[in-house]
Amino acid sequence: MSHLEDHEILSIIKNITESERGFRLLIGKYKERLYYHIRRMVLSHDDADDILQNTFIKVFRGINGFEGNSQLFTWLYRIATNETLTFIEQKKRKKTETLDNPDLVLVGSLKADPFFEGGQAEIKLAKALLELPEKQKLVFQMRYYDELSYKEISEILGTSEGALKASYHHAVAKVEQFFKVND
Amino acid sequence: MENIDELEFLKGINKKPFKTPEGYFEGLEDDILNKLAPPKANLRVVKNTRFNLMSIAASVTLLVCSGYLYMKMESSNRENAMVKNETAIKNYLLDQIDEVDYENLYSLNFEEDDVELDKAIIEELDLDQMEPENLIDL
Repeated sequence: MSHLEDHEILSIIKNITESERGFRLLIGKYKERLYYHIRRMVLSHDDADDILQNTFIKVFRGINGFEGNSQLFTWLYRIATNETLTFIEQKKRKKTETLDNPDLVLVGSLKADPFFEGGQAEIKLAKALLELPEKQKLVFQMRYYDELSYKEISEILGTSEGALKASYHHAVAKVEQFFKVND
Repeated sequence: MENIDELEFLKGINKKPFKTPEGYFEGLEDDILNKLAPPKANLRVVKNTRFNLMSIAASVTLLVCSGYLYMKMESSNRENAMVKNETAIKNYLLDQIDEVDYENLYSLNFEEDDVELDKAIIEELDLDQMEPENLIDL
């Protein structure tokens, strides 16, 4: 993993002769965080892999337009999140013709997934998250799993911190209720 | 970083249940950079397009030069043809002149040159007495 600061990586990327090295450093620094952020939303490794690669390709193509008004990290998260939401939407549109609830099928497939090491509790949490509206799910995941601050989530999603706090507490209440009902 | 609220009911939950195939993260940079290869392919297409455009430009230049040279040659040929025509006409006229009856021409000239003046006129004019200048006027 790269120990360079974001602004150092950016200046390497913007140097034409070293841009490839700079981009390798950027991927090295953020690939795992972004991968798990995506993976928690789509559950499947193959899908997460595709989305992650597309995310970095978009980052590479748009890096010259990054003006540094926000942190590099939140900018990357925003691209990854948008890519993931677009992917989920497209997948749902394709599958609704043949399946009643594709999300439940996906959660069900976790049991057989060789790259999933969770038990019943983790599968139950995944099911509980499926019950949430997309935005509440995102806020919950960023807060609970990624342990991001409201300020960072606000930069990523472009929503006020107050609205995010409300979304998070609604999400927590719903997940808790799900656990109680399905105990 | 802010303290994350403790969620009692989620205690004991594994926050990182997802795994990846072995070595997945190690090869990721290469995979992504390989996916970025198409723009390089596009550059090749652009280069090929440039090459094609240059070929077309060279062909057009060649065509224009050929046309110019052809026109020049045509013009030169026309001039040669005109010279040939003039020569042919001259030769024709000379041939025609050759066919003229020289004897008639000669005799005609002879008759004109040797017209005998009437004796009466000679006497009247008294040519022998005339000054050379007056003869010319006559």
